[in-house]
Amino acid sequence: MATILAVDDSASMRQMVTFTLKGAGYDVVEACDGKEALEKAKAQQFNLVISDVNMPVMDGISLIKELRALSEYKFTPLLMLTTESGDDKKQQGKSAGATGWIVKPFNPDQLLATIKKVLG
Amino acid sequence: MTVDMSQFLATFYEESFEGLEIMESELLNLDVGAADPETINTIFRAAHSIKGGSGTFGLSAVAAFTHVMETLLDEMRDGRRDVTQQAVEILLRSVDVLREMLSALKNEHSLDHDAIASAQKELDDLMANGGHAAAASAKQPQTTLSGEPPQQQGGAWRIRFKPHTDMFKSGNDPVRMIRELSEMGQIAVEVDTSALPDLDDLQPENSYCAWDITLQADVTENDIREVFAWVEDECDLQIINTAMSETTTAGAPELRADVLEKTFNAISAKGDVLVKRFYAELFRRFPRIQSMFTNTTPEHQQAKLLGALRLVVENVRNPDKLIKTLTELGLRHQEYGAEPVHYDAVISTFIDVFREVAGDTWNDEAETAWFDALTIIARVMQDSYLPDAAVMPAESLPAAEKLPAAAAARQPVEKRKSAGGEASSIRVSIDKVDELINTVGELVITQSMLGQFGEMEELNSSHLEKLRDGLAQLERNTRELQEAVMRIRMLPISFAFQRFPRLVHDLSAQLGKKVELKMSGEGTELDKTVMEKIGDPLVHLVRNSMDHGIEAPDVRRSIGKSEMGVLHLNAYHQGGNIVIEIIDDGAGLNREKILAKARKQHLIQENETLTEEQIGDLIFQPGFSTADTISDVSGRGVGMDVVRKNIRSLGGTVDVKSIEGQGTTFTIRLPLTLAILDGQLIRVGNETYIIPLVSIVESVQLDEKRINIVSGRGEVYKLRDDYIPIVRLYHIFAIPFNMQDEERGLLVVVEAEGEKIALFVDELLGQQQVVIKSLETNFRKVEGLSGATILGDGTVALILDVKGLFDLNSKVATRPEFVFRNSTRNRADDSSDEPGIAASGV
Repeated sequence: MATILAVDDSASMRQMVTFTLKGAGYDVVEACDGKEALEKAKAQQFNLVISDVNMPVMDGISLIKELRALSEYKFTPLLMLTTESGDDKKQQGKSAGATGWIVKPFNPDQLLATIKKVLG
Repeated sequence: MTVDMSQFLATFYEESFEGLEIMESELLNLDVGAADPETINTIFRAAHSIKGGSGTFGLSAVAAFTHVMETLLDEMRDGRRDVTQQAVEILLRSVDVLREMLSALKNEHSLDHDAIASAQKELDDLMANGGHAAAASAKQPQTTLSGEPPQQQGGAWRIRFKPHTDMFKSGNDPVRMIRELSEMGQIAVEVDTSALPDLDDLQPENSYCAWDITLQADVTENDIREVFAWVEDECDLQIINTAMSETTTAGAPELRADVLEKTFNAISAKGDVLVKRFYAELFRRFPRIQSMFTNTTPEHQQAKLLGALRLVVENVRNPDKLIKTLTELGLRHQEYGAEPVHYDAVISTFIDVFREVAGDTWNDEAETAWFDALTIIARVMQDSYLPDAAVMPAESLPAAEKLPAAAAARQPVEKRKSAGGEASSIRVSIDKVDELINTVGELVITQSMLGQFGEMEELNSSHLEKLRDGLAQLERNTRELQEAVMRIRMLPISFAFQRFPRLVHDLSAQLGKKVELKMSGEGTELDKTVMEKIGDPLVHLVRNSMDHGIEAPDVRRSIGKSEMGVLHLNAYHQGGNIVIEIIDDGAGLNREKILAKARKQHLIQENETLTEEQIGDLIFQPGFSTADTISDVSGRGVGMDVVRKNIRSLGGTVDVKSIEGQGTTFTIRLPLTLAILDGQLIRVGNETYIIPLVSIVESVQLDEKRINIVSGRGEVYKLRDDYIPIVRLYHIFAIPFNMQDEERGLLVVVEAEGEKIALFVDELLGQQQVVIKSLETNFRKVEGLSGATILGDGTVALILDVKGLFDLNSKVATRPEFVFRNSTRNRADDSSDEPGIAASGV
């Protein structure tokens, strides 16, 4: 089964994402900011990365830019969690190399549907 | 898949409260005028997280409230709005309201809708002005005012999808989209490979193909566009509805600005009539709707509607502003519980009433224009609704959220205990956990080493040597493990200090004083339980120093001090204690005033002379206050005695040092933890008990001649000038009484809350640190005992609760069978009026 890296500085969101994805049979690794995520992504290959945008230390946009520059993550789906008003963030994310986004607030079903869509 | 969202709520609340702390302290750090962008960003992130979480976990009231805060902060962050003092104050108040909301939801109380509404209004007002010109055209939700065209819902679609060369580089894959389309219905796909170059020139990472897809499905164009949403800038996309055989653009209802303005202006003089008639008619037609308006007056509501109508008509040519207004209006209506059926009711009623009021100026064109406008408005408003409770299992929602907002609005904020025990959690740094794991690792090594001896047939002397080493190592491991576990409960005192910047900020403004807060030793750690209980006493002492200690700026200037007073919070470890100091550079204690007041309240004799220490002690007496005028902040005469009582109940002490004119220092000493205590072991009969060392004043050899019986009060012991009640632990704990012990008995004088009693014991054993085990969790609560511990030899010793013994003593002392057998000869006459006893406060 696919391994997913979930990045969010909010513990409750991380819990929710992890719980939902694990419940659907995915392996999940958590990171609480972009820097930690980058380190974990270098240590282990993930099939998909899902990241919040606003985070301390390193934000989601920079994370996506860094990941996309790694040869291991050249074609890996990188999703970001944005808010409904985050149009320019979506644009920034896209130009950083994001595959797509999930709009917050979302519920577990929406999350799973999107992940399934991407991972097939 | 259904996921019970409530399981994440505890974490969400915890991190939200932390987020609020961060917002508060960073807001206080914010330099108005020259704000540090990183600071604003930190505040923004905290608000953003709370909003995101509350939306996800179904707390729509919180989400709606934080939405405005977030927008404001976002504008500040991008430099589209100046950071003003006013904005900071409003945001600070919003933080308070938000904290109230979250704790109400957490404890399943109802929300204080008035407070929320007024804070919301402040934010809205701030939002409405002060932004730079660019703010108006800021990002808006993706709703176009011309509306999404009425969707063509045909059965047959032709889609041409041509990815740009580098689409793969964003991790997107055409297969994904085609697969998604195939789930919508019947699909036929043709690949156009005409653009493929020769193999030599082909870049394998580029995309060269295009796809022609025919889809037979009962979907709208938007459904299809949604599939390609992530790549809309990375591909050429054409979608044609073959059933209608025309591209979908025309036919949208539009806002007929001219007609709307004309008709509205025509009746503007009758605006009041219009809205009044509207509500009358609405309630007549839909009586049940009325219950949604219970927290407003008809006049207020009419004025609001008229205001909203004006806003719409005025901004009909300014879609950005209009959408923004409608979005906020929509969020609020979601709060009120407005559903699609309500919008329909309002639209039809409104049109009818408008026609009636407008009279001759009304025509078909006007009716169509207004109907379209209202339909679009209703849609924009409803589009702004946050995904709400409907998608969550209902039982996961806190009760307060389930109540229709309107019905709950007028309910008083009830205070009740949160249901069940509060599941508290603690954040532990990884270092501490690693340390624990290391120690456990060593323990395992020691265990395996000792395990070898168990397998030996017999032990020789070299084995014994090793066995002894092993046991010594085991002892060290155990001690280290105990210390490491204890450290988990230890938190830096900054958790208790962090509320003070705000408190000092607010109080300075309230008292008209200038105060600089200094903090040091914030990293000093103490037990979580102690931390939770020391907060209130600290707040009180800080308030006291701000109110009584530090002088007003003009006073300070006149005596040559800097206008800015300094309040210093300091913490450090000393022995097994943590010391917290509250130091101000204010006026110091006014000796004369305290003495005069004490004499007036008969706390001391007219001519009594007191040491500095005793004078300081006076301010901790119940009912003592020297404030000339009673202020909001302190000086109500309750407090300092409570402060001392609370600190003592934690096994700590508080005292005060002061130099007149130069300042006051309050020093609190607390044990580092409540889980371990310094105990005095005593023997009574064959039992061992433990008295907390802090409560022991002295121990004396029993001298029978000093025992008196006071009727109604049991026995008292004359110790110097005091008469101290004697408590016989034999009686209280029903231990067989051994005649001979009496001659050799000891009295241990203990103190609690300023009162003393003498415990009659057989023998003082050693002093040692003991680990407290709760009786309540392991057995049940026993009066007079605060817990138990296990001694080195494995026996259980009970720990005396000194305060509890006082209460217990007053119950049993009057029972005649407990009167000391041979002290009748010293029996005093009815001594209820004996001054010595009255003075001892028994």
